[in-house]
Amino acid sequence: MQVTLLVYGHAREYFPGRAERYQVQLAGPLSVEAILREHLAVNPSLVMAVMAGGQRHSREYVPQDGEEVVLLSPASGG
Amino acid sequence: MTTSMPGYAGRLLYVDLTSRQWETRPLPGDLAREYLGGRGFVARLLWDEVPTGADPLGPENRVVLATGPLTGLFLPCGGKLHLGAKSPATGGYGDANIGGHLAPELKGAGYDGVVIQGRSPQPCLLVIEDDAVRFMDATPWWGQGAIESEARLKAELGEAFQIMTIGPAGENLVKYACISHDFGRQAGRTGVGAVFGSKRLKAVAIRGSKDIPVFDARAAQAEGRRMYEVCFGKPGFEEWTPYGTAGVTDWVNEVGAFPTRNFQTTYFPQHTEINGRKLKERILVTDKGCFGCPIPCGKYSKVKVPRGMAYVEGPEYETIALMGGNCAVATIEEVGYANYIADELGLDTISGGNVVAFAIECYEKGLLTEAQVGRKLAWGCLDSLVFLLEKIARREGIGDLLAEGVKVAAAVIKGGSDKFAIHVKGLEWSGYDARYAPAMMLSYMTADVGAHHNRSWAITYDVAMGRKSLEGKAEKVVELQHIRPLFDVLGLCRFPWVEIGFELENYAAIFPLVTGWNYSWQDLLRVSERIWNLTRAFSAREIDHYGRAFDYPPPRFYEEPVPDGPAQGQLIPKPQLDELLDRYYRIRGWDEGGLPTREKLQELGLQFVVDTLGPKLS
Repeated sequence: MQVTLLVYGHAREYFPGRAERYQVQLAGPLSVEAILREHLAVNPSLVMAVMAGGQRHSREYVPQDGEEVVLLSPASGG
Repeated sequence: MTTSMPGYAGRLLYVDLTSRQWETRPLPGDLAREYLGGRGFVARLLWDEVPTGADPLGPENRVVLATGPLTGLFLPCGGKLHLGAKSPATGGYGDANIGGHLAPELKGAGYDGVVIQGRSPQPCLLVIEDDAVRFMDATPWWGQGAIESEARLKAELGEAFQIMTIGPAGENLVKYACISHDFGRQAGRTGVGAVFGSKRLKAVAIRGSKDIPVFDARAAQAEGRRMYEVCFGKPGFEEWTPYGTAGVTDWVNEVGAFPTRNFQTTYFPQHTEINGRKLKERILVTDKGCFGCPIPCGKYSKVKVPRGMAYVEGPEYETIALMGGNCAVATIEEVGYANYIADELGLDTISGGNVVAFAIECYEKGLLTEAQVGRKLAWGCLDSLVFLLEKIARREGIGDLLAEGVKVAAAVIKGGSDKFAIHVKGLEWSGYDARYAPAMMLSYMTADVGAHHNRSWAITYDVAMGRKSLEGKAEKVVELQHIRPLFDVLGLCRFPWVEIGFELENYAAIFPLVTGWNYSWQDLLRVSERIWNLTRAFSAREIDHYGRAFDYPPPRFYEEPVPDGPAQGQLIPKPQLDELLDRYYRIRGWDEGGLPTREKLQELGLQFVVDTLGPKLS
């Protein structure tokens, strides 16, 4: 299966190649947390939240085959 | 291809409140080229205009308001106004910035900046309407809340005016009083509201109708449109807005950095009751954005608690952290209500939340008594929080001491309270406990205004590169201290960069089209470095023995391990703090005592600083 991760915000600086879009081939369903750790070698804590299907989720969210999910960077302010 | 200095209105307004005189002066070309605007203008004009040794709350201190070359134009988020003064909170360089719509209005009135000095004989309102400047008696509004005053002034002057006001805290010279605008936005930090109050300046109202000259208007407009399109095209750019800055609350708890019970610990078990989701589900009325913003992070909310009901902008993350977790207040409605009280009183919620939490811990440890305070104090008690905020703003009872901030209060209360007076340089700490984040700790230690996060927010670097490691941390802090304040120089909000990953190169692309100056991004960063050294020099000029000793966090952060939560057991021992400072000073070209060397100052074109500081420099 394949999922697409879209990286949103300044944490992109710490992703391999600093890309905005990663297409990841998976042997089976996997949480975003695990995809980050096992396939991109990125500390999952660099992702504040996951957006999928118009809803905000934790990193435990498991994308479906072909799904695009957005990864939100932590951000300061206020 | 228009005026001799495109990107700028071309004038500065000088106002003397004592004599009620004002004049305009042409914007000096070298000021514009070497300091660019905003924070740069504030830093240089304070250096030039404030007499050495001036009382921060005396008539000789100046308040400088400044826009930037990218303010008020057709590009994302050009709505920031920078304000500065010699800080009553720290005695050194102080500044703050504010969004909303003030800056475009001021530039549209034909001014790149305003320098205000003196003290009005009675409360006054400064009205700037294009070329006309007038003073109004503000006695009817003196004593009124900051937001209430804004509403009444809008009714009197007209909706088209953009207005900034102070509340009772500023009038009563509370050292961390803020300036309010747009019904709930604040220039919060370093006590700029107290400087307004010391000048008996209740409000400034601005209306502008002039065009802003641009070097190549057609190309700049096309580039501005492209910048918006880049923003809109970012993956999920619309996802930032629903929670705004409150959306980071859970994450800060996850990484063990959330201020809790006066920074006694770094994880607040009830954080999910005061996070962005709860804000959206329970109190949100509508989103609210600043001038030209494609990603509005402002939240306008309605809260109802047993004490009453209120409309409030926010609460933003910093208020959630300092008036929520740090005071152990555990519902979003209560945090929002405390936010409203602080806003009307004109108190910075960051310093205010710190001071209240400090007082509660003093009470808990028996260093303050019920008789001294006037009531019992307790964690998680909205009544305790509101009681103290009101006492502070009016300098009544214990509030008179707490109005001085935690550094002064600890010196009076004694009993070891200095160990948990959470500040750097006299400015209270904002919303990230950094005992498990060396780069973030160094960011707070070396921020020019004191313990504030907006100069360098490096905690994600710590998360990415290793929470214990010191490697590369000083380098990253210096890098961020040049990039982030550059937004304050150009007159921009930095959120598009931070939140949606808007590339920095975009700003370098539009800058020459607006100004006609071929500055590269590196050239712009060089200006930022010049300003950083100048603000450090300003504080060294104004404060005896200023330097390294002012760059340490409170002992709690190097003596008390975090007791629980994700950062349990963590602290940064003092030798490691010294290692970080040594490396930081070396990278900056500063001496071991933390002052810029003559060579560094001369390299940055700051010979006038060398001439002034002379013997203090190595």
